[in-house]
Amino acid sequence: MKNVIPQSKEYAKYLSKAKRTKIFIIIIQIGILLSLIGLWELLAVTGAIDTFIMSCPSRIVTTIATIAASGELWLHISTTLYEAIIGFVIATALGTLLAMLLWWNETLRRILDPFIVVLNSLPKIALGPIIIIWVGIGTASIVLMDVLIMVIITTLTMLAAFVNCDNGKILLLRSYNANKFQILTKLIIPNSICDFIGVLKVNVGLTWVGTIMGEYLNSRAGLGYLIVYGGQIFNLDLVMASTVILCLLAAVMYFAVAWIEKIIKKRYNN
Amino acid sequence: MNILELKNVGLTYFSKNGETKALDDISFDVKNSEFVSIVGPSGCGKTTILSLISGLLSPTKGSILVEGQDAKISNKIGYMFQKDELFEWRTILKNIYLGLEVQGKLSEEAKLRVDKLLQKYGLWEFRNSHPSELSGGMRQRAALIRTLALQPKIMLLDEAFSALDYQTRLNVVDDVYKILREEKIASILVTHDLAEAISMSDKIVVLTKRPAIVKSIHQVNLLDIPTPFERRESVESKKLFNKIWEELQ
Repeated sequence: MKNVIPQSKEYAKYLSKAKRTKIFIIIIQIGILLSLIGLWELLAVTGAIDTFIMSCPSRIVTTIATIAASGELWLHISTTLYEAIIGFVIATALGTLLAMLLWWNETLRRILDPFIVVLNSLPKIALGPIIIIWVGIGTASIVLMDVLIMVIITTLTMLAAFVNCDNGKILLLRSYNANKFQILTKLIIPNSICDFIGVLKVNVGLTWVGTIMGEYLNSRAGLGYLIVYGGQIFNLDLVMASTVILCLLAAVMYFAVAWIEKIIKKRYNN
Repeated sequence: MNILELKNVGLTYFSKNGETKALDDISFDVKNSEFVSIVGPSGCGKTTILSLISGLLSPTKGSILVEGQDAKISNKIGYMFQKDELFEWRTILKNIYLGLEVQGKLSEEAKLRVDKLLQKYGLWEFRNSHPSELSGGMRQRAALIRTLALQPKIMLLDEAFSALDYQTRLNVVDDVYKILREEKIASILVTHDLAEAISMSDKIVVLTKRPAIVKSIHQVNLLDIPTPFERRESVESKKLFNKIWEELQ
């Protein structure tokens, strides 16, 4: 029960200790990051490492500034971000819908089961050449690669969540003469919200794998393109700079999903 | 008047491993606002009888009539399970609305009725709480109100108190008994607990082991004692306990 607890001295002490621990953790995290960057720069400046192979923080910053000055930075970021978000949305929605369809029709589920299992274990990158020949080069093939990577595992995870719903609760709804659609909307979907959030968190990571893999296969712009291009011309500064930007984007997208999670959890009180 | 009649009901289950005759021949009646318990050895098909009455299953032979109408199409039955089956993502009030929502009966009038039930049975302050914030006894009471909101004529109780700890259980039994009597709802209780069955019932149906038939029907004459808790102490109930206990051996 949510009681309002009167502020005792001990409770205030407890709160301040919890706060101090939290601040301590953040300081250490920032410290680790800064010392790694500092160490890297130091080793580069003293010549202990070869910056041609290892690059270094100052050169990464310069490279990013140069791309930004040429006006192409936003083009590359937006291209990759667009592909990643579109792939993420399509795969999550499609996978969840497929799972609903398979939950709805048990016979269909049994028919398709072996096909799904095989598709799931197939390394999607093997389909690269086929995708390019069938849909051509460009955004469509990159998004398709991205979707393929996520959609099967999304379907399997959500289907498992739907099927594992407590039988007693289904029986309760059936005792009200609920139809299948009502069972789906009133019980199965809200009951699987936690699993759906899990899927979102997995997919927000996978979508970058899919997008960059797609860009490796074929692309004219994007961070994956910059990485491949940088590797081909042996410009490690470009490779590292793109990787750093990728890290930042992935972090931003992860926090966006964490924020969505908070809203959903609040709504469903899980 | 009989609100429920079972006539020569039998049920056979089919599965890959063969067919199982669960119920052979079951006949008994339930009168208006009568409290009937079904007892018998475990696995004899007690819960199956409730599934048949509620229309979740169809009998392979015989007939089940609710107010003279086939049970399958009757909408007058409320079902309470061993677990309260409250949905954690809904508030208590929204949980209670569930059956009304499903049946398209969530009118202003129904909402008022639910409000009254909540007030009458002490859950009004908790209407906006989520199930996890309530004690086991309160949760079971919420489940009962959820069923009462649909104004059933017959209440089926499937081991409805078994998941509660003993002390809570004795209190909830008194609670539920009082509510069902007040609302004048006929009830059928399935339980392993013979003492509990005797303490609540007007009539006890004893089944044989599978495939079940009705072994005997006992009238319980304890109406002058007001609560199940007090009934447990009476000489009459102890005598009946011993008699049925022997039959079950």
